[in-house]
Amino acid sequence: MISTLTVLALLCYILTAASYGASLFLHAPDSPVLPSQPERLSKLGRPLLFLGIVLQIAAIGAWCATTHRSPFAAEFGTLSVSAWGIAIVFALMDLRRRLPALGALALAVASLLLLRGLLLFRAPVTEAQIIANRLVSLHVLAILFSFALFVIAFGAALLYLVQNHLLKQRQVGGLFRRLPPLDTLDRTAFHSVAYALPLLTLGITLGFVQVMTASPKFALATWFGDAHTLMSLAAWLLYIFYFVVRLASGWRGIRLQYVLIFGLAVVLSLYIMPTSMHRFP
Amino acid sequence: MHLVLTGLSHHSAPIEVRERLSLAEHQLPQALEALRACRAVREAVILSTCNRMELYTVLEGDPAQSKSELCRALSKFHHVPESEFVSHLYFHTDADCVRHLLRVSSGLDSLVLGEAQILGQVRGALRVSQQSEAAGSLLNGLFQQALTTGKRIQSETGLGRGAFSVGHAAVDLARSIFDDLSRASVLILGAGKMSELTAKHLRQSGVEFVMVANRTYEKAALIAERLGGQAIQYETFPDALSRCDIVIASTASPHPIVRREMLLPILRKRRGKPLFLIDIAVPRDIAPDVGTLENVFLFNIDDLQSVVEEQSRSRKTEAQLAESIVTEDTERFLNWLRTREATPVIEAMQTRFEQIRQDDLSILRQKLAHLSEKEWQAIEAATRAMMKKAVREPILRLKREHENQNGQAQYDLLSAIQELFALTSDASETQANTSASETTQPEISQTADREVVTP
Repeated sequence: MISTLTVLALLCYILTAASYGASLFLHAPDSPVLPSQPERLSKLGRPLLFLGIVLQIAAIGAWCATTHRSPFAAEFGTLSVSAWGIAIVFALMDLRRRLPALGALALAVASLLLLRGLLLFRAPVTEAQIIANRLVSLHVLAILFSFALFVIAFGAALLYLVQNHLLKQRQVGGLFRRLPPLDTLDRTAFHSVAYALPLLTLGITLGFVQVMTASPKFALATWFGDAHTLMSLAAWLLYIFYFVVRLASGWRGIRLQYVLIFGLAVVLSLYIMPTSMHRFP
Repeated sequence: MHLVLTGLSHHSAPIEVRERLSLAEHQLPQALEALRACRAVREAVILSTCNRMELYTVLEGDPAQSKSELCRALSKFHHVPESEFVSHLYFHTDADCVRHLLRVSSGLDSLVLGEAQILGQVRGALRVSQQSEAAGSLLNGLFQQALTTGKRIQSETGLGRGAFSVGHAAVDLARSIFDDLSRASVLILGAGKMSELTAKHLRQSGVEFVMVANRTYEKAALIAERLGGQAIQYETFPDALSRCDIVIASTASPHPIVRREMLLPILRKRRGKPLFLIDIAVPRDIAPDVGTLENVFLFNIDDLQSVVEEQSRSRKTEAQLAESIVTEDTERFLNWLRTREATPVIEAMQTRFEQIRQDDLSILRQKLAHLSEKEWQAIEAATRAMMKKAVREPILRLKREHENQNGQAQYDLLSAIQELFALTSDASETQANTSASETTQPEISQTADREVVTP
């Protein structure tokens, strides 16, 4: 049942991404395909997105009830919560302002994560007691939600670069007309980072507190000896740099968008980073 | 009754003819009155814009004969001899008239394909006619349908989207950079007509702050006054570049006045804030290599023209979709029209059957006085159901025939039913009542018809 619910949620996310994406291209006036109710097509996305979120809540809940473990005890659960986080963050944003282009990107990332999670559905669940610790769960949850916001910031930055390129090349038909204004994309990216940074800070702090509690004597050595943790700090510094430059100095424009693109690459590298503390069985 | 359109437009008549027959809004009530004085005219709406003058009328009798009467009325009202305009007139009857108005309200017949202004003009024409009590149920229905179709095409196709002129193109591009134009400021360099027009478009789109710089300060002040902006000394324009978001350049300078090296320090001050440069001067005012700078978007007059042309091409593609919507909605309206003609007969038939039922029941009540109220209720229900079943099929067939495009067949069936059930006088009475109380919306009337038709 858990895998069925997750597959259904995955289908919802894929269809949402497809409907948002299709509305961009079908609506383009110089698209070779005549527009066939593209506005309605993009409106299909929202109910599907909410359905996917609900299905995922059910799937994650059922997984926890069946295994009596936190979702972060397995790679499936962690990836599933990551995808769910992206979907929730985007849904909240979409309620405020419709940005189908961003939705297509964000939901595509969520779908990939969920697909990877499904492929690891049968992978073993960790027996380590530390995972049952609420502090650890909160630490992971804060970091995953900050990741979701960084994905949104990345999407907005990527669209900014696309829109900037189209403007520079004077390709102002088709896709150009369906992309949000540069200002909107810049502001969306900035707000996403503004919300993500406190969450990332909280996540990292909670991780440090956990290490301190578990082994106070070797806390610093353990913490700084972990490549994963060091990379998290690097990501944190990078986003702090973006935030300070954008907020305090008022800098905008394409260079800052590259910081956000690079930022997500750093965050994603955490997943493949060799680590002694952050690993699944 | 026939729907008849008599009119001329930019397609059929030169400006010299159009201006002689055009009507200002305050003249419309008088003109409508003059039209209604014509013997055959039952309803009338006049659509008069700078590109067209069209009379939509509901005529009784042969429309061919009434056309000359309409031409005479036009000639008399405008004091223009018929010979001067009659060759430019076009006439459309019934289905063609419906289709034409739906195309007009959608902007498909406009000089600038897809322009949305016409929808407001169609609405205005109907309003004036309603106020003058010249529009009856038929023209009300037709114009409501035209407005619905126009709005539908605006929302379901890209016909009304994109730039229609260089000014529109500039606004369109500005909107893809700045999400809130009210927070953007504009600097106009030079006192050209085109730059003023472009700035006007931007002002109308929400830009609140405009600065004007020109070598002759007085000219700058004049333009600034017209735009509700502020004139600045020409020498100070480099400073203003760091404060504004959009620059419209159209000076008569033989060399570029905005150069890369001039902009570099300004861009540092701007800290990555986008700068949108519109160069509509020939020779160009802004050096072309400025466009390669980061966060600077430079569009010259050719770029803007190509934006307009590209979007005009796109609109032509969208027009195909719009035409299919017009065809669909024309058919919908004609169906309503046909059903509307059958409604009095259907109502008369139902009334006749109900009357028979009531008469027979009252006789039965006297004969079977011993029956209880509950038993009478059962008899009432049974007879009502019987009656409904009896009329159901003829009504459905009649309606189907009326929705059929074959006009001849429908009138035969209608006459046959009237003849068979002796409904001629009843139907005429109902027709009179229906015409008097008919609602204006085709959709509403269709609902009413459904209520009548469904036994």
